[in-house]
Amino acid sequence: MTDRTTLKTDPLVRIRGISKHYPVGRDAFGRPSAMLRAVNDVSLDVRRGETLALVGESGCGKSTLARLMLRLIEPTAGRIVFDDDDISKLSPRKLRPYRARMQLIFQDPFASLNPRMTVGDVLDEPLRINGWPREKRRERVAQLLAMVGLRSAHAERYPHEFSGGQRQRIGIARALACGPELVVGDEPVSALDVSVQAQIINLLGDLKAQLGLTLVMIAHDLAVVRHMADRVGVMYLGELVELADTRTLFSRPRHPYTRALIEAVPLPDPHVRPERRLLEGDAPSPLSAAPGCKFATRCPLARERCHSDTPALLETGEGVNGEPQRVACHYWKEADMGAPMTTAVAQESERYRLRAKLFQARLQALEEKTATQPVA
Amino acid sequence: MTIILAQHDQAPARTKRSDAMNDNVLTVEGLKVGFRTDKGRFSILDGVDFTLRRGRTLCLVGESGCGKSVTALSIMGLLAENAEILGGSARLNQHELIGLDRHALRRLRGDAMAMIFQEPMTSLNPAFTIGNQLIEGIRQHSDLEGAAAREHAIEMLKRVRIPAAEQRMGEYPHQLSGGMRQRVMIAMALANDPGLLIADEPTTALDVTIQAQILQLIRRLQHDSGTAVLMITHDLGVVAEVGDDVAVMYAGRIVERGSVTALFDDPLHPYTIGLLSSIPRLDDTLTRLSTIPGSVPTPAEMPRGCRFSTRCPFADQHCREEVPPLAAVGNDKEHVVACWKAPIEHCEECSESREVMA
Ligand SMILES: Nc1ncnc2c1ncn2[C@@H]1O[C@H](COP(=O)(O)OP(=O)(O)OP(=O)(O)O)[C@@H](O)[C@H]1O
Ligand SMILES: Nc1ncnc2c1ncn2[C@@H]1O[C@H](COP(=O)(O)OP(=O)(O)O)[C@@H](O)[C@H]1O
Ligand code: SF4
Ligand code: SF4
Ligand SMILES: [Mg+2]
Ligand SMILES: [Mg+2]
Repeated sequence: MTDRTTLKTDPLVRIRGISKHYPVGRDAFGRPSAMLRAVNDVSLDVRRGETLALVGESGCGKSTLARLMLRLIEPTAGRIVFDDDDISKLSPRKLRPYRARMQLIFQDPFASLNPRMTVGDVLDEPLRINGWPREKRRERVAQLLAMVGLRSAHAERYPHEFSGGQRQRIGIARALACGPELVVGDEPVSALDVSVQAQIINLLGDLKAQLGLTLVMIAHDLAVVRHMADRVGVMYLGELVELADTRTLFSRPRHPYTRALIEAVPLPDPHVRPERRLLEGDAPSPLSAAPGCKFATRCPLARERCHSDTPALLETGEGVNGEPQRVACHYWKEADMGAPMTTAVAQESERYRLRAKLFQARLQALEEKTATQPVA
Repeated sequence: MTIILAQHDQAPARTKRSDAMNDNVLTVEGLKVGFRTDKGRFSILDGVDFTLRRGRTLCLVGESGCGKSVTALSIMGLLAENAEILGGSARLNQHELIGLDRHALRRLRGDAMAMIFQEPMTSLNPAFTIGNQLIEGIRQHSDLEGAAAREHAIEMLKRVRIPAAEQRMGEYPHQLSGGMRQRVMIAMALANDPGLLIADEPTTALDVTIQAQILQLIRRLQHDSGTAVLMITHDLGVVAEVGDDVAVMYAGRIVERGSVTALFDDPLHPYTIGLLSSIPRLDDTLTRLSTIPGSVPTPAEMPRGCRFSTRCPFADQHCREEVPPLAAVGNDKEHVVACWKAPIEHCEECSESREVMA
């Protein structure tokens, strides 16, 4: 995690009133019969050097927002300013110089890797496109492989010869090839097994610190977010409903939806099986353009006003280091009921703690031993 | 599916008696399954053992590819064509399932045992309405007909808390959200009050708020009906939330098994220990996660002895050559582990690094 005192620097990306609406269906005259509001009027800064997480239920617009930020798709309305340049309307050709500076890591790296290209070719491609001279490219590929914990001999192999975790390492190496400033991960660890997920999370953290990256992380696992992010934005049906520093968001959520999300997380501790107040139903269709708060159909605090007035994302107070906590809810004061029960510190047994320490200590000892041996 | 049963895999009479005494709904012993592929034959399950009692939930936990689904499909008699059952036994209420013919298995499915899948569309037919499919399932396995079957179907939809149940009866699967489809599948699975419900990652594809609803639903229905649930998951949070007992699987073998509290408070297998410490937690303020190095070996490169030996920091030559038996190492005889060195704090060379820790 970034040192929280350095967070108040100028933004790398400024997003202002961004929307992406998709026309869907056709009426008798062939005109679109409805608008799907994938992202609706979102404003947000991504600060240099931070890790910003975006969370929310499936279909709430996280990936769309990420793709807008990278200008992989064109906004319906609003502005995106990358490092002081307005990129919202740039043509693909004019966007090219920005492409190398911002990169996307996918959930399933395999789907994004050409099966007929060796790993070396996969990593060489972006370098070539960006005009790296041939002599430098070989060296860079080896360097990238080392950076993500692979061996240079792996350059000769094909993606299918690698495990899921290794493929994600390749995906990360490719994203880093041209030295981007902004890296957006769209669920980069969601498809990985727990034991491998931890390796990749650590790797992303290390690389971020080493290279001074700015990270935007889309994730649905809130524990992963808690672990990685400096700030968290919570989305619901295309809108940002809460934005705060990570510690404040988890210890004092003020939007009823944020609270519901955190309280729904199953805890890896059989001693606490909290009786939960669960959200009823599921998110309404993004096609509905009903006025008022989008969460009103499921919100335990909803009342008349919620169905007519749309709540704006307003500053409600300060979190860590004076970081503003922004919430879009008319009645956030009532939703602010202190720490959600699922964030209570887990009770770990002495035995487990001792064995976990032995396990890690032994691993470390082995690593040191192999590190001092000459490489075969 | 081919079945090759060795003589010694016939269950001894002694266990059968204890089945009855313990209220055992499902007993799996020494289950071995392999696959024939164009690259050769691979052993996938290598001796899976567990029992499941009435009204209890056993969680089968493990990383992807370790054989959780193959275990479930073997029990249900739904294995792929290229699968071979190489040995072992799976008994439902003391009746052997392995080797039963198709018809007998089909009669048991949806009646004495039912399964729900990660992707509900695998068991819902897109061409028929929800109501049609529910009623058909009820008619096949009961004497309910006509209006009575329809009423029972609506009742089931209400039990899984589908709003406007009567109206939903006329809708097609694609008209429902993911969470709603999962509920319909649960309604179908539970329509005939099965003694055994197998749920294979029922919430993995769902959002966390919907997951919480579905888990609560399964728990309530189980509480009302006494159904035994085999819950397959890779999420230790789900295990802690719903499990009574847990079996940890690694590369086709059960490596540790016990009550849910024993497993979390007294994890014995190095894999379990590594797994527990590599999950990020909501109360987490650490900067680095603990990890397990490497990844699960593929079926083609399975090590000979302990299958975790390629990643275990305590592995030695003995581990690499000899398969450790699944056995109790402490006072809790129900808590068993397959590791030569458990508990690791009693193993001299394992604790060598203690000085490092201090
Ligand atoms: N090209 C498109 N045409 C029409 N609708 C689209 C398009 N792309 C996305 N959508 C819709 O926009 C909404 C937001 O989608 P998006 O992929 O951003 O969600 P998400 O939050 O990333 O979800 P998930 O967690 O499932 O990845 C969804 O309703 C989706 O179906
Ligand atoms: N029909 C099949 N043919 C060959 N291999 C299979 C087949 N079905 C499953 N496998 C293999 O069996 C192993 C266990 O699979 P599975 O039980 O689905 O794992 P999971 O624990 O993720 O449910 C995997 O290595 C998988 O690739
Ligand atoms: S504005 Fe109303 S409906 Fe929306 S979250 Fe707040 S209380 Fe709930
Ligand atoms: S038997 Fe050996 S290799 Fe296997 S888990 Fe135990 S110590 Fe590790
Ligand atoms: Mg997405
Ligand atoms: Mg599976």
